[in-house]
Amino acid sequence: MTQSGEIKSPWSMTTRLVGLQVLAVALLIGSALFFVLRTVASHLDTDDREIVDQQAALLRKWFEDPHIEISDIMKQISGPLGGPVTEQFFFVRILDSRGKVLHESGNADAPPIDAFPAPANPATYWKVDGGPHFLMTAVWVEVSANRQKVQLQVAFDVTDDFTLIRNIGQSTSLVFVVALLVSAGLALLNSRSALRPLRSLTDSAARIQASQLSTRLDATAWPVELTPLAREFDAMLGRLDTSFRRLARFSSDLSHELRTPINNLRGEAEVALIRPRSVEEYRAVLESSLEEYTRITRLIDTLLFIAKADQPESGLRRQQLDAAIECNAVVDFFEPASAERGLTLLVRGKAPIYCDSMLFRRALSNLVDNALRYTPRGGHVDLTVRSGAKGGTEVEVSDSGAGIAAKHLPHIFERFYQAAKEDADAAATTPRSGFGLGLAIVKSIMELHGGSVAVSSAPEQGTTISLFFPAATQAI
Amino acid sequence: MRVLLVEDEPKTAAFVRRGLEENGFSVVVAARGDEGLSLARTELFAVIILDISLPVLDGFSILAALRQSGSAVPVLCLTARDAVVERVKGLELGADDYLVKPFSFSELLARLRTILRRGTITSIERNIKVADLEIDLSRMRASRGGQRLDLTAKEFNLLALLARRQGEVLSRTVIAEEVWDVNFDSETNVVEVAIRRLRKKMDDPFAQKLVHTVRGVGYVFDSRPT
Repeated sequence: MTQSGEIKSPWSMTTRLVGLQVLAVALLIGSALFFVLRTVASHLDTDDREIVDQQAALLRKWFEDPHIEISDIMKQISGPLGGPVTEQFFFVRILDSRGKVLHESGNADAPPIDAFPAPANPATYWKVDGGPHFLMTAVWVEVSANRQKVQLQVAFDVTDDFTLIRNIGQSTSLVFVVALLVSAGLALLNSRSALRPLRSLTDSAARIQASQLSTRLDATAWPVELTPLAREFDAMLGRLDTSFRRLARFSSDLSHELRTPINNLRGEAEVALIRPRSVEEYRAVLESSLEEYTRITRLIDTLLFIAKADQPESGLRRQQLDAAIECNAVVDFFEPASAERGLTLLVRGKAPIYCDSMLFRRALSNLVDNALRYTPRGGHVDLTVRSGAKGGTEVEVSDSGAGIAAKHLPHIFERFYQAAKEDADAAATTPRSGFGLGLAIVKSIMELHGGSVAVSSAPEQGTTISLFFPAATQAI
Repeated sequence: MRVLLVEDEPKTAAFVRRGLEENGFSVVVAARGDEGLSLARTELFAVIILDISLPVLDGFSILAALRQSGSAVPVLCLTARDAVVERVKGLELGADDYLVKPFSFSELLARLRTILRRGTITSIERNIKVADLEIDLSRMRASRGGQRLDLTAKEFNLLALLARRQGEVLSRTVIAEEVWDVNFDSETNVVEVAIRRLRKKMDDPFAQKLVHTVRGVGYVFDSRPT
């Protein structure tokens, strides 16, 4: 049977815990590393642009300064990627206004002319296949000496920066992977240890045998998350224990109840056969045994009835009936008995009732039978019917009898419970008869109907037993 | 009247046979299901008493086979199981009545007679006369030796039931069922009390007793001399 709200996923809890933790770590470390990498790259980019722009500006300033000889400038920039400002390498090319190369620094990996951005545009990157990486810019310059307008192309070798970024990228990837592996391992260990109490709870539960239903898991001994589970489990054990004990008592009572008549039968037959007897004596033995057989048959029927009533699928033929009419049918049956005992037996009230007529009459008969038995001459037994809560029906059987001592009240609906058997006081005041199953039957019948039964009693004043039948719409 | 008893338990078969024979039936016993079915098909019986759990062929199958072949012979089923489902199944298959083991022999007899009475046209009884007891069924009056008996309605019904089935032992269960429509076995002694009260009115004042107790079984109405 499945419970509602179950977790459908068949994934193991460990897998889920580890998966979630690894995912969290991946997101966290991954985004941190990515952010660091991007910051470094953008810093380098900013720095490099500044450098290349400064270099271009410096050269332009030289060319435009009338006090500086062109040849000195050319000397400065003619070396292979030599630069005056920093240790970094520069490439410089000078073009006339028609695009003809006037000068360029000797360098094998020189970027082509048209790879440079147009003058006054932002610097761009250029990569020579298998060679260095350049950041390039271009400016117009008016040479002060001859008023000639030339284009100055400046390329800055940033290969080192790119290598640096690539190296950082590689090492952060490594850090990332290692971090993931480590966190997965830790998560695995962690979830194992977190789930350990669950495993030992399982082990404890597995160790409980039918014979040890009184053992408990002890709710206080578990982590707070498992306390409710342990508590509920203990409560369930408690219920099992109770019904197990009841069942055990029931079986022992049952075998006792069967033993008595069978013992009588056996003994009487044996004694009868010890020596020859008159026909009358044999007849008496047979008659006596017939009474015992009837007793056993009735016991079996009653127990079967209760057993069947315990299964909710047993056929319940409920219909809408008049409670007073049903009560009167039962009163009719008991009328001779109540008249003989000098008791008044009356039905009061009027109400509809939704029930199985046969079962209702049976329950009521058991109650009336008890009431008549325990009420002294001149007393009265009243059957009261009235509409109860939520459209249900209440049926009360009250008597002016001896009452039931408070200590017996919680038990009177148990199978085979007889107050007369339990103590001498009760035995003195109430005659013992039957098996002590009458009220158990009443209870079973009420449970079948989804109703309830309650008792209130005051010694020497009488007992009232109330049955509550739910309305047709409320009934299960 | 011929009865076919299909029952595999030898002791049960023996006491039922004996009891029925002593009550004027002639009994043929079959201990196996297939035997029972072939007997039921080849010979003529007034009624068949059929145990449900049988070797070779169970009672339900026999019943189904019989009804399928168009036989309308009355069938009374016996079973050791009390499941309502089984009872319903038996009746659906066409059983006329149903008894759960352990059953009382007097009840078996009473039910057999009821089944056999069915179908026969009973003249509408108006009066029953036994010894000096007269029962007027239409006016619900009874008198003994010309002296009117002061009976309650239920007491009258009880007396009429006993008198109508005179010579037949009626169990407390049957009486409760017929008179009060109470069809469950209760631990009460209500029937005994009712009989006692009836007797006080219609038997005690007279020399000849008509209602007799059969200890452990029930009550019988009989004009035999006591």
